[in-house]
Amino acid sequence: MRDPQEPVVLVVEADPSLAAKYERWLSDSYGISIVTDGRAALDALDDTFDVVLLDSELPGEDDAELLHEIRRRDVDVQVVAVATSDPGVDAVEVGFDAVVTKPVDADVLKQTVEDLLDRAEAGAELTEYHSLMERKGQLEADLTSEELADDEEYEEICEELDGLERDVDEKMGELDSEMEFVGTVREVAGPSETFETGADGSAGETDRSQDPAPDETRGDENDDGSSDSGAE
Amino acid sequence: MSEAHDVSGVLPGELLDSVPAGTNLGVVGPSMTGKRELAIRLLSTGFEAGDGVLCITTKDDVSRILDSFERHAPSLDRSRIGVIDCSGSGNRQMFRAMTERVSSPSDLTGISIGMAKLSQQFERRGITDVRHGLISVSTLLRYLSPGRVFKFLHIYTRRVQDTNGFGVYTLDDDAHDPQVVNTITGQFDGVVRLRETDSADLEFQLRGFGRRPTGWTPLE
Repeated sequence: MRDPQEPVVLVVEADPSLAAKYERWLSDSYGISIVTDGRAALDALDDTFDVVLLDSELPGEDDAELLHEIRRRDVDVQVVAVATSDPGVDAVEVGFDAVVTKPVDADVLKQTVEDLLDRAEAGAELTEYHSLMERKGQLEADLTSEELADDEEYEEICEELDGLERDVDEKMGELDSEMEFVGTVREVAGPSETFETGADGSAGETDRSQDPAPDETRGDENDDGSSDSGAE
Repeated sequence: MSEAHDVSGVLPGELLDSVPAGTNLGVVGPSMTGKRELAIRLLSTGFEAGDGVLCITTKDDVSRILDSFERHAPSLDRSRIGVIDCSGSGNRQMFRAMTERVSSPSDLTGISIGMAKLSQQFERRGITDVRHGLISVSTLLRYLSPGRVFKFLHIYTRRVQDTNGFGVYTLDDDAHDPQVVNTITGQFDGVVRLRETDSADLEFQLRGFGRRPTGWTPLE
């Protein structure tokens, strides 16, 4: 069930006949904004958008560069590449969340956008799921197995978790493709602020939710810095 | 693609000879109880022609991990071991085709991209049965909130399920609250718990898999 607020798609497409097609196919279900080049896309980009549809063959533009700029804007959007041919794992590395190949099929496009919106919802539900798992984990830490067997709250939590897990997994969909897997990690478990470079992977994330200094006392090192074989 | 993954001989007494395709297993215990060693044995036992390993290492760099594999499975072809090294170790090795470096254990997207690239390489080489290792979840918990680690693990365990793989995840239970340990391990199909006796022997307990927990048994 969709949020009453209609999801919004930013279409970045220089060819007016293609742009018109996408609008025709998507405007029943989504708000649509159309821009014709990268500069305009970056200017338009803000938190009101949920999905960006990016033509990979915009004249004079490098789609990977543009995607990098979009990511740097730190806006919570998922980006679909519309490409002439399937770029394979490069698209995963560059950081697209999905790829549709030309000539674009209406149903494929709609399903792709729908799947990405589901993925975003899965993220929110996963937060709820985690909270409930934490509650379950606390009960398991506090009570013996005999006590747990009689505990009403525990039973209710377990039932609710079953349903929630099914919802989450349905929204997340199958993760047998590399792109779906990486895109889901990025959308669901990625940080709120990021400076990912994508292509060379050299930049780390800036999220330090707990901001600890990493624990220097490693359990597997002896005092002289050497390590027992295999012991951890 | 096989239906089950053979892990016979790792746990004594035939308690766990094989796991169904898509299984996720936790290896949990205090520090210095041989979790890494057990995980590597589970990942490298019963290897068949179409098998491969993808190991995420957060503390030990790629050469230490490969050495551990060498110790426990000397006949295992190293080119079938993909390593995602996010230890940030300064020891820059020569380029190795089946290694992906990630700058930090906190870069979950980077880890998943490394995983995706190595998976693609495996696919191209006809390697279809993949065992996944994450050594260890505890390092992730030092860098990231429990919520983000939980979500990442949920996605990762689903990926293992959807690809009929076998996932092994290590966790120090003395580094985290029991609630955190339970929340994390609640996502696995089963858990091997390890502990050291007063006489410095190792014992294990097998939990989950829809069975009653076993008693504590010497690991030999």
